[in-house]
Amino acid sequence: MAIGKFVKGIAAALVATVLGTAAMAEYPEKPITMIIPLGAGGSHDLNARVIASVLPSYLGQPVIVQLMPGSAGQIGTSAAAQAPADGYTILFTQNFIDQLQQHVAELPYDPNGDFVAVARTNFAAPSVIVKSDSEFGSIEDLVAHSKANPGSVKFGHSGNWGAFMVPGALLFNAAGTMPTMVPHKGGGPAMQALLAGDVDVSMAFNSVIDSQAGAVKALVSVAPETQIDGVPTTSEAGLDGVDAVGIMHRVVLVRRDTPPEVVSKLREAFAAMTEDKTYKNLLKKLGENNVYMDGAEYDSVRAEQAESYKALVTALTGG
Amino acid sequence: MKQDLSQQPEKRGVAPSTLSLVYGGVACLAAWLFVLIPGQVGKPVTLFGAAPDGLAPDAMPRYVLLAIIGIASIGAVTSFRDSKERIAVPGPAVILTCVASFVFAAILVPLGFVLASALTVVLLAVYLGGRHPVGLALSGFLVPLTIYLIFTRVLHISLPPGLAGF
Amino acid sequence: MWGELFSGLEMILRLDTVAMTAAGLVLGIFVGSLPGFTTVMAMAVLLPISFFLDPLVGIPFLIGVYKGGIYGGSIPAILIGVPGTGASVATTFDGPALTKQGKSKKALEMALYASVFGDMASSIFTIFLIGPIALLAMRIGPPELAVVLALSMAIIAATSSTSLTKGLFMLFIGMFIALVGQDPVHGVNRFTFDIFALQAGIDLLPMIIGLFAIPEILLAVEDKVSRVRATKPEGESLTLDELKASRRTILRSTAMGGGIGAIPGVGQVVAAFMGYAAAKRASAHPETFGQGDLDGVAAPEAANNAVNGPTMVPLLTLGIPGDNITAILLGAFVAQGLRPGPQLFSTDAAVIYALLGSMVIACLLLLVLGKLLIPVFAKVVSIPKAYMVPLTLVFAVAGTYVYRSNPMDLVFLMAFGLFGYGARKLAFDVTPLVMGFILMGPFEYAVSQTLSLSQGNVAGYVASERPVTLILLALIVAGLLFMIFRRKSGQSAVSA
Repeated sequence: MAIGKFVKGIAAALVATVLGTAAMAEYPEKPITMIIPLGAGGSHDLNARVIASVLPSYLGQPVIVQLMPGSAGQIGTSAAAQAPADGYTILFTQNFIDQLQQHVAELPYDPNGDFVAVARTNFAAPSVIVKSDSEFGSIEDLVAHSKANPGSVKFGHSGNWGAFMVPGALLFNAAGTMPTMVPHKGGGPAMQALLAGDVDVSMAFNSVIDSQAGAVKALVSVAPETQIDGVPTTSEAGLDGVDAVGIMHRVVLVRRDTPPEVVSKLREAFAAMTEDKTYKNLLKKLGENNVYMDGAEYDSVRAEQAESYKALVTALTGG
Repeated sequence: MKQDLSQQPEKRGVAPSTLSLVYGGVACLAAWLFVLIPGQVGKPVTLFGAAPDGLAPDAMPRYVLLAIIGIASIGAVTSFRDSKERIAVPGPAVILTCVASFVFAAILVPLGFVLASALTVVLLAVYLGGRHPVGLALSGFLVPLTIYLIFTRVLHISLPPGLAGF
Repeated sequence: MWGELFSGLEMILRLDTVAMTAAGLVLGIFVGSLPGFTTVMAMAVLLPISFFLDPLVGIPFLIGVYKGGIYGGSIPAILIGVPGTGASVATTFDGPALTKQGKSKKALEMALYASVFGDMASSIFTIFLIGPIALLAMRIGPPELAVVLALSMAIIAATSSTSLTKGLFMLFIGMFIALVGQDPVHGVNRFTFDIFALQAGIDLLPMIIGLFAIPEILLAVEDKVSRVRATKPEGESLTLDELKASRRTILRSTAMGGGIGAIPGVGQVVAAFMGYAAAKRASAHPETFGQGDLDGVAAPEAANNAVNGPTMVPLLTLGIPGDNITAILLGAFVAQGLRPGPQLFSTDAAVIYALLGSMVIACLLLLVLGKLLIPVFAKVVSIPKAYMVPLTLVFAVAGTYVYRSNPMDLVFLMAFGLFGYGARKLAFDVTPLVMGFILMGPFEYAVSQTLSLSQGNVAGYVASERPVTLILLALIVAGLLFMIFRRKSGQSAVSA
């Protein structure tokens, strides 16, 4: 009985392969797996759930979310790099995993050689925050204090080479001082450490700052445009070269050697999805923006990021 | 289980007990890993030339391995003269089940969840004495297929599709 | 407070809320009962459904999934010895033994009653003490957490094993296994031997399924005679006297679970093990633990569910999720336009009480649904072992794989399976290994953070800025002395 099934399976697989190559134009003809190189329950997971519930109506096939956390995103990314280049495996990642990891770790893949961008679905801009009753009223106060007492300011971030550590290091580096860096396991624990007074300064995204209802105040936003009324951006505060590389981009990638018609089909589907009412509504509810950038455009941003992160890592590590 | 072991008191003078051999083996393994620390634990990235704050990456491995060596040595010495426990040799069914799980783990991804489960369940069930065709069909095909469809189609969680191709 | 409490309760006493909570419970029980499919996974998958529902329907729905998932995890733990989730590992110590004695129905019912009681008591406790719990959670920073974690490890090593040497030996091995892979603080590789798949480290799920399920499967096939016959029937229902006999255990576990829940970063798995260890120590007949004692099911189940109430506190009062489950709930809140945190608490306290109230309602519904579903699940034991063993194996292996689709996990699963089988043969208890493994990561992280925060002067920093750490340290020393004393007198009592 098992053998019969086995032979049938092989036959079915053969037929599928033959038909599959013949009918490539009809991509997609089976469910698409979206790999997330991060764990369950994080903001990336939440964004992915929204995408997975809306994208199928534009692709005509279900989207299966596959969480592959570990090794600062390397596990999931390398799995996506090893999957067949048929467009049935896409990677939903962010720029620090995508472009920064190559400068701080030995990777079994080459981010720019192996992947091409399908879309940047949105971005998140962090702001430097302190407790509302903090003695620091502005980023200048903080920098001056840190310069006068080197190492006395404790900066709590969400993990080494993560979405707060990188812009934080960039920003303080531009200001010419460096606080004591205290890593936390994610943004939540970092915020708790700030509220409890364990650390003096931290970073957070807007939606989180809003929910703290005046318990924290923002000093400066790492973004090209004003994020919170009355809070300067980094370039307004005289800190140059921080905003372009310090914000977090959520991006969808596929293997570079995927057939071009498959890539363009995916790009079209994502472009159409960002106009979807339900999608917009859900993202808005999550407190995320919907500033879409198409894959081709974002690919040039990735090339720039690779350069600036290389410079950043060299500057930070002193080598 | 514990009673089974203590039912076989068999005093032997000099030969070490199984337990103390296990302790000794682990102590040696830990010592070997301890020697490997410099090569197996990476150096943290320095920030502006200064070593980063916090615990060095090789600190905990050193403490823990030393603790293992210590406690395993104590264990080896204290259990050396224990009665030589007779450990039951695993029967053929146990070994075959072990092999079956290794094989299932190996074929799960290439063959896919449904095919690999069908093969493993049917063959192992027949070996263990399940001969009823309905039982075999239910446990070998219907259950894996239902699970597969519910998880990939309804809940959008991926299971290896493999050769069956769906 | 009373006014807000009552208006909160009024908001959720509606038919659609109750119906969706029940639906969430059933879905959660189903997903949780399959090994490898964690409660977090079930919640993440079902989260988008809640986006389209009214807040006071959607969030109770997810709370239902959450509670159903935790109870669901203990069903395979009792019936086939495969823990569905980490929280149900301690339930595999006595659950399967009861099933073998033909008492699976009693065990499932005990798990249900203990879970519901633990959960409900902790939810109610949380409603009234939300302020103090929030204050306590804020006081627990890295130094305090490091001390609490060290204490937990010491307690488990000392209490769970037959001998202290064996317990410490397993604890240290578990601690070492946790160090393999990428170091969480600096991101450097440790003991990966240049194998890429090892960089992600070894995960808890392959470890617990391997250590607890595979040996159970191997021991089941060892016994040749019983293979063809159906196992024992599901047996009788739990009697009121049996439930009464476990009341002290349930109360103790609930108190312990609630206390552990108030400390961020420790969690359900630890609570279950601690509850079990405490029940065994306090029992008049500790030798029956592990051989099929109803107290051995009641203790971990009450403890792991009692964690639930207090873990919601940082989420509701500060808007900070303490774990993945509360992170998903935060997503659901935010998607509904509710931003948990100090603001929501001052402006919409009624909503918060409504949600806490819905946790209590979910418990009551779980009691009813569990009662209805137990006979269905208990039928599993009537499947002949010849079919059940291969199916269990398939679930154990496939469940490990789906968890994060890493083929390396299958290698770990089998390695831990053989390790667990060997450990049982040599009368080693693997619980300290699992505890050392779970707690080592957070412990190292907390120690490292403490060193960063103290800027090189740990003693001075702790003495001047962390009085709570000092109090906890004093408690540990006192506790260990007490335990050593108790152990000595206990041993002499046994030998006398």
